[in-house]
Amino acid sequence: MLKNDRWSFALMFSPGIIIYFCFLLIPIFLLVYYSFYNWDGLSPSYSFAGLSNYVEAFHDKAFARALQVTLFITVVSTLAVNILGIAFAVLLNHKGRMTNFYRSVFFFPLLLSTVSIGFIWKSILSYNGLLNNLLEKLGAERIEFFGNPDLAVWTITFLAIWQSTGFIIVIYLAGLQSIPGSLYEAVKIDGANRWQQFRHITFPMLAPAFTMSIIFMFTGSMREYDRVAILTSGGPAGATETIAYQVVKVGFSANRLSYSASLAVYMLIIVSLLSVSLTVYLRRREERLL
Amino acid sequence: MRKWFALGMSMMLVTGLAACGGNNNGGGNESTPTQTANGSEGKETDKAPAKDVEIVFQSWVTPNLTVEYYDQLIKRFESANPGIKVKRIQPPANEGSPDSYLKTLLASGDFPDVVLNATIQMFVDADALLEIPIDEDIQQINNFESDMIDGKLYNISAIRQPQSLIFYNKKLFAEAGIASTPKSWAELEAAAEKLKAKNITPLLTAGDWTAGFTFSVMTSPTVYKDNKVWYADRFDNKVKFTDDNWKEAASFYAKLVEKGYFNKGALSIDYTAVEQEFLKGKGAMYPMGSWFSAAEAVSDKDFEVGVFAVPTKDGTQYMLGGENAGGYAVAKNSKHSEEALKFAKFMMLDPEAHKGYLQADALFSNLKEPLKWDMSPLQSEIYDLLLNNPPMVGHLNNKVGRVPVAGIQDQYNKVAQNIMLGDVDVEKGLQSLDEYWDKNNK
Repeated sequence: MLKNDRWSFALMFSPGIIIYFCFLLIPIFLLVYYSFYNWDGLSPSYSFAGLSNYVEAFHDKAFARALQVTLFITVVSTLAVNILGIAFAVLLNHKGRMTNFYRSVFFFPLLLSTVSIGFIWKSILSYNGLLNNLLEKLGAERIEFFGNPDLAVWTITFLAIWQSTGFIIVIYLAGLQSIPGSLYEAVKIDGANRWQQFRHITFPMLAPAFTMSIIFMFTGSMREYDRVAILTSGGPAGATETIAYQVVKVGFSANRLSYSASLAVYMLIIVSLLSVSLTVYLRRREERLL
Repeated sequence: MRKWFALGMSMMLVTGLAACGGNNNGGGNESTPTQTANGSEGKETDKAPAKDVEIVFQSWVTPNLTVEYYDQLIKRFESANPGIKVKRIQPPANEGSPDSYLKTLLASGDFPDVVLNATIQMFVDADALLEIPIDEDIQQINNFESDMIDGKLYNISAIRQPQSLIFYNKKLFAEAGIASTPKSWAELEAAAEKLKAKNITPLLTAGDWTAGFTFSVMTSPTVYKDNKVWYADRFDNKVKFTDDNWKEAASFYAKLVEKGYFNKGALSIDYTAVEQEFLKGKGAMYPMGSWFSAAEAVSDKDFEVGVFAVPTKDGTQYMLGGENAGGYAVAKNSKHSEEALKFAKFMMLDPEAHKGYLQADALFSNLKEPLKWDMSPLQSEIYDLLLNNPPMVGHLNNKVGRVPVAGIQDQYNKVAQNIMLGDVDVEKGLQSLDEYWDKNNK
């Protein structure tokens, strides 16, 4: 009987484990393996390169710039999405006639693919797009959303915020609905105003949702690729190239698959270290607050 | 009950394992956007008798070469060749070439039987392409030997595609009092100055790949007219981007930018948008390849468009472009290489298909007995320019004696975009091209 149970358990776990091996562990192993070689991704033969790809990547100015851009997009979008997510979740956490409509409106961008959204925003923000035509009609100067290097990075960041906020609102709404109403009753009796209720009850009790949202946004933004590919192709002059974009470009455009694998390994290490540190910090914060 | 549960789980396990397995050539490639010739997804193949063979064809869809264009040709081929079915696939995004897409297919074992518009040298290096026998079909093509790699032919193409062209708005030229088209750099500058004085934007370009393309077509003819194997020489370190001729050409381009001859906000629009800007009359000159004439032929506008070769420093006409470039190639490991080769030849050499291809993408026949198609007045002007032009070499990421290092176009784009952003240190830009070349020449 016990033996049969073990077989059943093994069978139940197998699909998950196989998928995990095939689509995560084996690709990561191959990534690390190829990073020590000199393979162009096409040739039938390749040679061992030792650490040379890692040394080159360490001195690569374009990679350093991409890392800087990626961190900027990640930090700004993670902070902004969480601030907006909490604010809108609090506003939407009431039973009103239009509440469900507003929830749908905020969630809608997430239902569209990033590629579709990229093309929509491109038609709005390009130099001869809808917004600039409107600005011109109002007598204002046209704005180079994609042609100015600094503004292009902000534009990509803004779109990341716009698209992700809906999902984060849902996480915070779920968190808000798990806060016992009795806590609010108690502080109201003590005379706490709305801000004090938020500061001393809502925000601390949202700690698990906060942890999840921060980690979700952080790891997602560090892999920023599709918005860059659709909206700017990494331009102007490489100003919006993120690490993920560069990994793909170096691997598939410059045909240096091994070198791009070494960039991806660096990215893996950076994302893992930062997300583990963040998770540990935020879990401790949860324990302290709850 | 437990037995049924275990059976169910076993089936899931088998399905999971199947999902992890490779998918060899000719099979249903479900992870890529696929379509059968008549547009019905996969159904035709399922119903086909066992003796039918199916070949997978990677098409190259553009605003000119539409899905309908390929599908009607495939239908004709299938009717003429019963027993051969063609499944058409296409890259999910237009990145300027299907190379990245094909590389992923090659890595996953799904390389199509027939590929179109790929960088041939790259896939020959990967041992992925079939050597095309030089039979009487191939011998119809002018100068097919120029596309051979180590004495072997790997692609079937019979086209001429001039790329270093400047299309101009005849109405705006007349308004600015420009009587003849410029041939030299000095004449181009003078024309631009006259246009600017009339508040007309002299030159149009865009961000993305268009920036690098414009930079390349405006500079390379002056350099390559005197050295038609420049890239081969660059591999041998006989020449560099920082040589005086390149510096002079790039400085001329930077001067055009500095003087404000290009459209404002160029880096904030893309290729599709700049084409529309020109067709709306918002700029006088538009440097672009001959394919633009296909869009011009069907556009609605109140002015005529003319064309001239990109001026060179001394005014000698030398156009760059594709001679038998791109075209159709067959996978070396195709299980149906005979049928695939038959299809590739049909698509390029069948008189109706050849004519259709030329007309759809505004190309010019390079057969020994060239096929004429119904050309627009602008296309006839390009044809006349070609009659007086020696065989063309490529530029940018195309062959100039040899195919350059992979991905050089990205670096051209960066250099061009930096110049557009006001970085006047041209030498630094050219140095970055040399650095890119050396770093990626491995």
